[in-house]
Amino acid sequence: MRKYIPYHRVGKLLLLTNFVAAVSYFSWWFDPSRANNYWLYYLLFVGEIYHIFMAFTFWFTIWPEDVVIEDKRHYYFYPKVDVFITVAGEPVEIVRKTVVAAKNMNYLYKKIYILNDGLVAKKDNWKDIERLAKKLGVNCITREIPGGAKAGNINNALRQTNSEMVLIFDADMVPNRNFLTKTIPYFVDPNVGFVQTPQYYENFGENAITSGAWDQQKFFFGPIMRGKDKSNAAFVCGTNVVLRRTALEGVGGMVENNIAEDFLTSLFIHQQGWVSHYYPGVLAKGLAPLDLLSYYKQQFRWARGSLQVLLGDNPLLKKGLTWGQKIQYLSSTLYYFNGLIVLIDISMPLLYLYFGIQPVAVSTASFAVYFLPFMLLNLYTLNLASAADISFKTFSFSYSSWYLQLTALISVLTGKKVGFSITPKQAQGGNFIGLAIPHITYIVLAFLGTIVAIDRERFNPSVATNLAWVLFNSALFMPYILAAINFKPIFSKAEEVITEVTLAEVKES
Amino acid sequence: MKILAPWFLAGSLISSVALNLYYLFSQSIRLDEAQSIWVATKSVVGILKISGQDVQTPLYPILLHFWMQVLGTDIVVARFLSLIFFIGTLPFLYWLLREVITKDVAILGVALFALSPFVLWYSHEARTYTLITLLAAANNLYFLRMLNSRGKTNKFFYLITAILGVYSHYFFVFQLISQAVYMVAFTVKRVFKKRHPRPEHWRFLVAYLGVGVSILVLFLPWLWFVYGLGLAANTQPIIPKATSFDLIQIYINFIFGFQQQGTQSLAVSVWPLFLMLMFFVFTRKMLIKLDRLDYFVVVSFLPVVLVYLVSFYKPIFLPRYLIFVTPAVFVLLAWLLVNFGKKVLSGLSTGMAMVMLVSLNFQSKSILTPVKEDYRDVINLIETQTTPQDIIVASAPFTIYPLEYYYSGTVRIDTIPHWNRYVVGSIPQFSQELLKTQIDNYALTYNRIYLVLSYDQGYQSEIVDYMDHSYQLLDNDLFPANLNLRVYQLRYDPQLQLGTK
Repeated sequence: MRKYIPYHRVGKLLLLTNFVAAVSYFSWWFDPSRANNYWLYYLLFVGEIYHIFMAFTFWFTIWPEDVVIEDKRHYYFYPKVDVFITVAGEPVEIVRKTVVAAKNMNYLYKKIYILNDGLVAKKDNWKDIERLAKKLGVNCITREIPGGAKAGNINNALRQTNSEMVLIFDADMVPNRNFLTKTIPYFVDPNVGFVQTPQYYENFGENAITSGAWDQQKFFFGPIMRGKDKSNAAFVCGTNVVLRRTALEGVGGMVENNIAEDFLTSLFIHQQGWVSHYYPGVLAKGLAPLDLLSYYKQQFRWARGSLQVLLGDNPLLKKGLTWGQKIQYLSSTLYYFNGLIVLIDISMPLLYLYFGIQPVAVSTASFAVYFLPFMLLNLYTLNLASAADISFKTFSFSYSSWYLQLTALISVLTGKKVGFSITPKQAQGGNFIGLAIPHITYIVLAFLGTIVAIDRERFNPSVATNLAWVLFNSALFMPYILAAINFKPIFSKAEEVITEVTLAEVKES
Repeated sequence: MKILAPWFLAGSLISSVALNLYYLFSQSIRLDEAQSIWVATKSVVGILKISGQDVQTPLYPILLHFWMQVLGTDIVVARFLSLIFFIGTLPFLYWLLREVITKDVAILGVALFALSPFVLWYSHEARTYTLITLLAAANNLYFLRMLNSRGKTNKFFYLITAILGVYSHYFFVFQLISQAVYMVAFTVKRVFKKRHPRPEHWRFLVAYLGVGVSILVLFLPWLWFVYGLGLAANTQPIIPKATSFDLIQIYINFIFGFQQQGTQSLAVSVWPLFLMLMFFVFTRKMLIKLDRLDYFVVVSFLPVVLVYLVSFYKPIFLPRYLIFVTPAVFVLLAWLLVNFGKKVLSGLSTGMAMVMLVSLNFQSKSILTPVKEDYRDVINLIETQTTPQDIIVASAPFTIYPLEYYYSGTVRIDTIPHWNRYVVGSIPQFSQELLKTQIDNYALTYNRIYLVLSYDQGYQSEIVDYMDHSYQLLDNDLFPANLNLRVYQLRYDPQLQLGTK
């Protein structure tokens, strides 16, 4: 297992060069005489403003500062900790493994609680969870009054417990023995509100979905969270986080009216002036979404929640946040606008292939001369920042999420409620090709559009450029589509692995 | 770790040398080559004077001068000197690659460079370009060695290669400027990183500045000499204004040579595919690290961008003038290829080599590509048809050199506009009045005019219009590279018929 999530310091000179290339590229757009179709030109322009803003926030995030992540120790500071393991119908074996590991944590002053939401979530195994708690000698708080989903479950437990610190684990997050000894020393500083640690996916090699999801996680918990930490803007990611009770209760507990409760709660905590920390070492191991549907639901939940924050609790308008925090929160929420922007970008070549409409009137080379240095430098910087660990699949899954992000945006704008979906910890059966239909449709449309364009004006440089763009887009969609098509149920295999590990641990304990 | 079969390098080098020898012996002399030989046949002082008025610096003609004194003035002999420079570039490129990357990648870089249709175009041409490439590869090597060690030897060789470089072509300055930019960034970065004591860094920068000042001091006499002549660029061809298209196309030229315009336009227009390939590369774990990647990016792109920017003021953007960036470009190319992964490397490299060879074939054979001019065939045709009552006239005037090289007959050769090469000064300006006078004077003495048109300087169509409307066109032959032979009857004499001597 990894000790730290990969990360590499990027030089200031490279980031400044990125900045110059971005300014140079941006300047290209300020010449309206280049427009052919003004509507499309300005639509693309808006998209580019978004891309450049996101690029700036990324460079701001990874701007190197001499912050040393150190393993803190304190020999006289051992506050009491309530360990919350949130459960809402996950298999008993998975929960057992987490509870056993939590009990084994090398820290005396802890109380383990299973926060059992199975009853209110109408899951069949809620009684089994209670029995498991009894068998393993830990507390079980079973909610009887529903509301607030996972946040409601945690708040319910907060009311019934009283330790100074609260540690939250998802049902599948198996902590290391040293989890608390690594994180608690940060709280010696009375201003520290919470300490977040990475979500490591132990099953990342299981299939295309788990590896894709892990690739994205690596990048987020590597350079991004480290960068946010420098601005005191690392946020709570729902699990593997230790919170000071006073900080959490000071904002009324976990926010219940937002689907991304963890994100908004951290924003409120930061607003109150609390300090947060991100510890990049892997201290717990969990399970990635095992199938495309689970992945889709997880991403949709994050997208919808973040967009809700942007529209309802815009970080720019929040008092008490520093500018660094505002920028970090804003960029996190704006990320999910990507769906709309990608839709604009991928539509342009199709519009040309079918109707011959072009947003710009100048040669493609004049655009490439400005665009390529900006893009290539960005790519290289991404590669460096991730310690050469960023994968094509990371880009593919992010790029291919445009449809779900767009759906989430429409859902937020129209106020259409979407049920809270936890990430299933077991592989779901069925055919997931349906989730890739927009992408497959795009490729089919691109193919037919190319025939239409060649029939209309032969294979000329304009057709070639637009064909190259649709090939570019299709190449980025391919790993996502293949993940949907090649999905094989791994249900039995996953359970087998989990059972073996659990039995071994039971014997050991 | 072997990533490429040994036959790849061997095959590439053998093919390269064989192709060079074939072209070296078979091709007609080019305008530029004829000029090189003409200049090199003068005395050293004469060479300095002529070069001082040209766009090039004098090192190559002086070397060619002594080379031809020993081995003769045949074009094949002159071309061998370029071939030697080209072959000499290969070990320097290899050492340059070895300085920053593994042996296998170095071999790949050299193998691809040796097959580059662009490099091959100039590697057997009696011009300065392979000398510049050789000096650029060596200069890059010693620059990196100078950065990596404190020894005086590398500084000395860097100084030597830099001086020889600027005496080979003015554009070599752009490489030195790029290196200076890199050096400043490098020093600033190291100083701020505080890895070593600061005085050492400053001392290094001062030493580099010393080298830079030495280059300037050693080049100043030449600049003073040129300034003293008061003339410049009297034979400079008209260069079109550079566009952003050229900026991308030039890199396609470096790797795949000169192709027909339609192919080059398509190659430029599919640049998003290049971006896609870069996505594949930058999302792989770097299999092989390239030390000083930033340096190679700077020396591959900054000189081209600088020349492009200068071109807004004065058009100077020609791929051959920028040939000195090719060693760095092929270092980057080899590095990118290996980072596509070991599994595909053999196929990819072989595929790349095959595409280069096919490009080379198109470059040499297709009538749609800017193939080299065939003055030899023009003269062969003229020699079978002309009599002493005819006149051969070349336009542009400087194309008289290759015609003179092949022509050994008795017919007078002149130029439009009329140009006396033995009088110091620029080529006279073209004007309709002078043309009319010149042709009318020919009509008093000669029966036919053999008009050889190439290297249009902006007035070729006016000459053709005037001749077509004033005289009878007897024959019109087109040769590759827009070389046009037009024969006109100047006056009617029953004894003289076209094709009879």
